[in-house]
Amino acid sequence: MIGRALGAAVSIWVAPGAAAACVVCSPGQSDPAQSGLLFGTLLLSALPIVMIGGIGWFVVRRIRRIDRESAAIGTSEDPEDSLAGASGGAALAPQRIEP
Amino acid sequence: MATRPVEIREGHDTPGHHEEPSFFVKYLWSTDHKVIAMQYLFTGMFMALVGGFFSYVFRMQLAWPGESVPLWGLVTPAAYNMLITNHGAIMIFWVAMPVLIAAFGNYLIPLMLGCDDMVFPKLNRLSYQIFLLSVVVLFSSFFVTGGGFGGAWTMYPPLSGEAAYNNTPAGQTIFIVAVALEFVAFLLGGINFVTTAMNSRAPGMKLYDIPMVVWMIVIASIMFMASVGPLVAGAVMLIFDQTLNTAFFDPTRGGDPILWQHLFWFFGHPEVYVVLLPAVGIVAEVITVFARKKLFAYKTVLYTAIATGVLSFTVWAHHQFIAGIDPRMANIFTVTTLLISIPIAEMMFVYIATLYGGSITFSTPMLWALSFIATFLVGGVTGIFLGASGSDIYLHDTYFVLAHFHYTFYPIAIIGTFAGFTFWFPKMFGRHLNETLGKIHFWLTIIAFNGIFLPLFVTGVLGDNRRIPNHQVYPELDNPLMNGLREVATVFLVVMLLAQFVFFYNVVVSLVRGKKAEKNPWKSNTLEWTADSPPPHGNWKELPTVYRGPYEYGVPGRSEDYWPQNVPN
Amino acid sequence: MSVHTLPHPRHGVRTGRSAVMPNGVFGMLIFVVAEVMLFAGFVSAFTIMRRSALVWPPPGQPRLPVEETAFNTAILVASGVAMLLAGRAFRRHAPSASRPLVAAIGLGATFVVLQGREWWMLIGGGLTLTSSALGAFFYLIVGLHGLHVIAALGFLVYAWRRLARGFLPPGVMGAAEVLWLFVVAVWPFLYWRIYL
Repeated sequence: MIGRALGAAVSIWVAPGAAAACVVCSPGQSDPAQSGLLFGTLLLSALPIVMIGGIGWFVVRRIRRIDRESAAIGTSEDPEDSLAGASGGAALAPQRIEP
Repeated sequence: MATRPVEIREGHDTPGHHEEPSFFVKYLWSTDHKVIAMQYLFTGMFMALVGGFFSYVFRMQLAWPGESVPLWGLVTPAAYNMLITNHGAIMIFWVAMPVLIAAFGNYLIPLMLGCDDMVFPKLNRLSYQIFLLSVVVLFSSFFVTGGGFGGAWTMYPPLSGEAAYNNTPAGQTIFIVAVALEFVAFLLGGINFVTTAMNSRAPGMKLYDIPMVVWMIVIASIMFMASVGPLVAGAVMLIFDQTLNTAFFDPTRGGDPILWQHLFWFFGHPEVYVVLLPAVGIVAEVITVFARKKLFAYKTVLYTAIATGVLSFTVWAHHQFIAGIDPRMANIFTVTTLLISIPIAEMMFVYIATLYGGSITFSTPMLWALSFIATFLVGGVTGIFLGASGSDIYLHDTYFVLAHFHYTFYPIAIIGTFAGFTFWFPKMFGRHLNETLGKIHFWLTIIAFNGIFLPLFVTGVLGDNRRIPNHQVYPELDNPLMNGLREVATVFLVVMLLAQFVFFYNVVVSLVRGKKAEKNPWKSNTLEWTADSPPPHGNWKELPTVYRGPYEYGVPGRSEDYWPQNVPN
Repeated sequence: MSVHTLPHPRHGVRTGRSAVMPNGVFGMLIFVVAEVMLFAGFVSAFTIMRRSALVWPPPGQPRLPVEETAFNTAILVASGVAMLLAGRAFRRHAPSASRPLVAAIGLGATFVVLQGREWWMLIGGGLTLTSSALGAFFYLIVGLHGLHVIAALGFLVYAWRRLARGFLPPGVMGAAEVLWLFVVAVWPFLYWRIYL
């Protein structure tokens, strides 16, 4: 059972022409359209992961640092507010502006 | 730095301003995230009625071909094509997306993060206006020469690119324009969601203190942003083919129709997870509250959601298994497709583990949430057969595929929405829904839903093709067993659609005479329950501060079994 | 309509919240991600089309002006450098950003004009949207980039006018930087895939 499954998996890679589901297509090494498709596939698959991963990594690192700094100061708010004194209170109890 | 001067214009959006704005300003020109959420919610529900009506018409035709359908008349093949195309497009682009992402995202993100609005409120208003425009454009396509677009919601060329093939010369272009407008609306919305979640969390709210539904909507928005580009590229090329006589997808003039399938499904498959994740997040909120237990493995759920997002960009070619794809590529995409079921399964196991040992209340939202897990599992398991390229060659384009994706999309778009809507209804409108009517509606809907799609798995395995308006033309599909199963499915569909009147009756009656809801009727931890029900413009008089994670239920040593995020100790 | 200068409790720009970066910059970054994917979609479609063509470039079509466009590319890259300088100057001393910002706008406008001249010559030479797959993709992708340059130029002019009037919020300046650098950075890639 496992042997047959392995055989099938290997034959796809050894003789892709025989395994193709499409009778009018000719999958093979020399087909330039396939290399174009491969380029597109790799570009489209990798780009979002790289971009989002990069931005996400940067954002999470920034947030972690902000959290660490506020923990070091010993308050739960933004460190800049604690240092700024009066305005830190404004953060917790935002002033309402009456017209 | 901390007191950076910011202009405040006195006007209707200044918090302390008491003058009552006009109806137009308040409900149609508002930048308030809650009003925009309601606009999205009700537009989405209206579109669900339209899409549901379309499904009623074509299922009647499938069960009793050639007979006149009440409220519609004879279903011609052209009308059948129009109905299935627009049913699919409406349910995904104009129901699932606006309700799950835009409505719940707009409503919950600022409230759960403890801010008074989105970071770009005007962009938010523009987002809904463009969305409404897309609805109008879509509806206009039904009334032009040739009628609405009839080339399936996947718009495969050359069928969609040539008016001579799809017989809807005006509808084809208007349809693509409507979809494109809808994407612009969600791009604006998504930018807002992600920026708000990353930049304006309440003081003290760490990344792991963000409620799961917010994370899910944010991850879904990011996935949408990153996947929609290639489809927009393809849509522009398709419109050029239709109107400017280019030949991007026309094989008779050197174009490549398979190219469209790649561009479409590069968006189309992540889109499945874009709508799945918010529903999964809603279920997480509901089951923790009604099981009175901490979410089992918060970080696991978060990381599996991220893993789903990453993997979802590498699975799309499983839609091209019989489109002449190289079998080596099919092999790779089979593996990635089966891999993506692991994180999703993991989420479901985490939810079951959350339920284990909890003190469960079977309220209406909880019933919806539990049925989500049960029905979505069926959808996920049947997906394995389609993800494996070998069995997909046999099952491709049969009713098995159709039943599979309805078993995934129905839990997402309908069950997930009902779970969220019944759960946050007291917060949204300040009144309770009727529990008895809610449960009647739940049981009718859920039984009828299974009654529709379980028979269709069987007809699919028997070889029933998806795209045939009249099976009597094909003798091998026209036998008593298959006809009987089709009739069963249609009868249950009618039952399910009628059951929705119970829901609408319940909503209307509860809005007028329902029991008044206090601030926190479910004894929940998350921040939105600390605002008034319904929250006023600006949400809080004093914006809350956060001290702990959102799922601290049943903590030993406390007198109450919940511990709100904003309570210091 | 009066203007207060008080800690602002509205719309997430409040104090006490740990913003990762200004809202405008963050929003524009996410928008740029979507835009990058849009161009990636076009470029991969073009690559598939080009590789599957039996003869490339299509016979009987004018050659794309590789050398002239290399010069245009250099101008656009110079404009990007000017924008980088403007950003640095803005963070040091805001009014001093005005001059490099004008340079970036001027160089960007030059790029648009030169590209327009190139299109004019190509259309005269018989390369149109329907004449071949090359023409269709060329006008589609390069035209889309051109539209982006023009829109981004409009945004830069808006930022410059606010700077000239005395107050340009850092978020707007950052967003203009991100958008302009994206428009500049995507062009050499397009040049490589389409012209070469």
